[in-house]
Amino acid sequence: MQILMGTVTTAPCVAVSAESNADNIFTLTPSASSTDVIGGQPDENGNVTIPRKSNVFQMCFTDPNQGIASADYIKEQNLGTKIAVIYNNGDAYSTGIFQKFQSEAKTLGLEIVNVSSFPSDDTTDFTAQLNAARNAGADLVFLPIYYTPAALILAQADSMKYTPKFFGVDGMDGILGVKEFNTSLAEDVMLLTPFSADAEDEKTQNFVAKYKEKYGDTPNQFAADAYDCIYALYEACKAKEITSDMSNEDICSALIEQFTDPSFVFNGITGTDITWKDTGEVSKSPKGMVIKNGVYVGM
Amino acid sequence: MTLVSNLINGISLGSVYAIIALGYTMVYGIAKMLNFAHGDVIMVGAYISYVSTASLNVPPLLSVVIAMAVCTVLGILIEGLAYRPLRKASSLAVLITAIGVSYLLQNAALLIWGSTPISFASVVPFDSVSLFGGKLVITAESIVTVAVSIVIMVLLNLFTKKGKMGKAMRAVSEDKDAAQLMGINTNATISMTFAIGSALAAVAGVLLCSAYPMLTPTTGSMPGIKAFTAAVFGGIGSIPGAMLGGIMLGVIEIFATSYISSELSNAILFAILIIVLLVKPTGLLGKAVKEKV
Repeated sequence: MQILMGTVTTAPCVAVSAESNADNIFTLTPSASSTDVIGGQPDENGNVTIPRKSNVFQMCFTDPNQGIASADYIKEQNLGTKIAVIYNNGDAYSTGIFQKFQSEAKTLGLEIVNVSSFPSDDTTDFTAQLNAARNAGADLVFLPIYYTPAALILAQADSMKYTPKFFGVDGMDGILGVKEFNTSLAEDVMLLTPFSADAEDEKTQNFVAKYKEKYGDTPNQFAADAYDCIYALYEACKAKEITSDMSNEDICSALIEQFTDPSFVFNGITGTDITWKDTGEVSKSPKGMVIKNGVYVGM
Repeated sequence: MTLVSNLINGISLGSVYAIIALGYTMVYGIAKMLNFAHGDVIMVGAYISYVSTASLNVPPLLSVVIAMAVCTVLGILIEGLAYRPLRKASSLAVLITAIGVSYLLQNAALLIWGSTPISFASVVPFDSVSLFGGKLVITAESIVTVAVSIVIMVLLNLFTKKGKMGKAMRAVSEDKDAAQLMGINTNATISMTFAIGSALAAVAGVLLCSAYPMLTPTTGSMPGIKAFTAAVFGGIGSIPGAMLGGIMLGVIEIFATSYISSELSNAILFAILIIVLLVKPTGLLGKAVKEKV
């Protein structure tokens, strides 16, 4: 292996990136969003527990950035005054977004009226969490979680006849791809995601058409981020004139140089003018989406 | 009103655990083995029901019957192929085999139906009931689940107490060799136990996914473990014990999430289990059986 494009989610990537770092293999992950993946980020006490893995870069937003962006978005658009949060406390992704969301909400003066959690994505019953949110009078429920539990939460809120606004993050993307999912449950659900299959630019349209032809399904942000990864790597390799006979160490140092070069700007389907920081984080702007009649519409 | 609402949700969740726990307890009571694949038979039942309604356009209630039939056959097959050859082996070997069967079923489901989650359409054709001007909402699924679990428990109890087959089951449960000497076909009896347990698993699977509409190849594992806990809690081998244990577990889970800490709900659940087992090692309704020396 000379270059690694992967992995999809955080937990395996924390393990894999440690190995790729030891072996000097350049790694670009499409959607593993924890800061533990890139390393070098201080925790709440200011200690850096995982040193920066200089070979690892992300195509997706980091969890803290998503938490902050979500709080900012809710404040700016004035989406809710009393906010409840339901998050997965057994998952680094969910907990990471929640913690940053909470501190940013405090700074912005957003009122969080109830916080509840669940222990794993296998959890089936969310009635207690939803009851707590309803009793606290929440008019917006923030769900920094993946779409499988989110789909259950939406269904259970519906059968409880509880109808707040629901606001998700990029893990929510994919909810419309659940087989037989009653999309009316997700009507008006908002989420921050870097990708919309309905965007009208030519690149996105081409990608969506080809993906549909090949897999018979609409691509979500996981697919789009991976697609952008491949092209970002392609452009970087082209710029550094990387060839297949080079060793992975040489490729790695050339690509690190390219990705941290401020003049390296990538235009993809998950954002335009994408650049990378020395920390491995990506810099691109999130898009607010709302689900209307089973499709994403820009907010 | 929140208290009542939480209580109802707890009983509803607990009834699902109870139906699954009935399967665990029956098999343990009669064959003296822990069938860890039981949770995955639930998942297969739910998939069969889904496939029959979605692809074959079978009405939902009939799909439950089909799921029960398929799971019955599956249960007999698992028993015959995986467990019967180990009848004389140590209980540890059987336990490991059961875990193997569990993974086999999960991965087979992954191959056949893929990992994309399926939103399961409820087989319950009624709407939720709203009381006190919408302050208390009881879902139709909870009502049906509770009713079905009570009916199953009563029928099972009658079956094992009165019927000829039931008597044979209890005889095998007490002493396999002596039962055989009295002319009872122990293999057929144990097969029958698996058949009933697996048919119940299909019902549990459909009810579980109707109340919590998300179906993946691992859907059965967590409820399976919790139901096993419920069976131990109530006294494994005891049919009313499984019912009581299941419902208590559901209520404790919801109450712990609501009133103590949603982060610690599972920890509290299992801590209570440990305390109960320390005080009453046979579970709430379990009988202490003297081992013959």
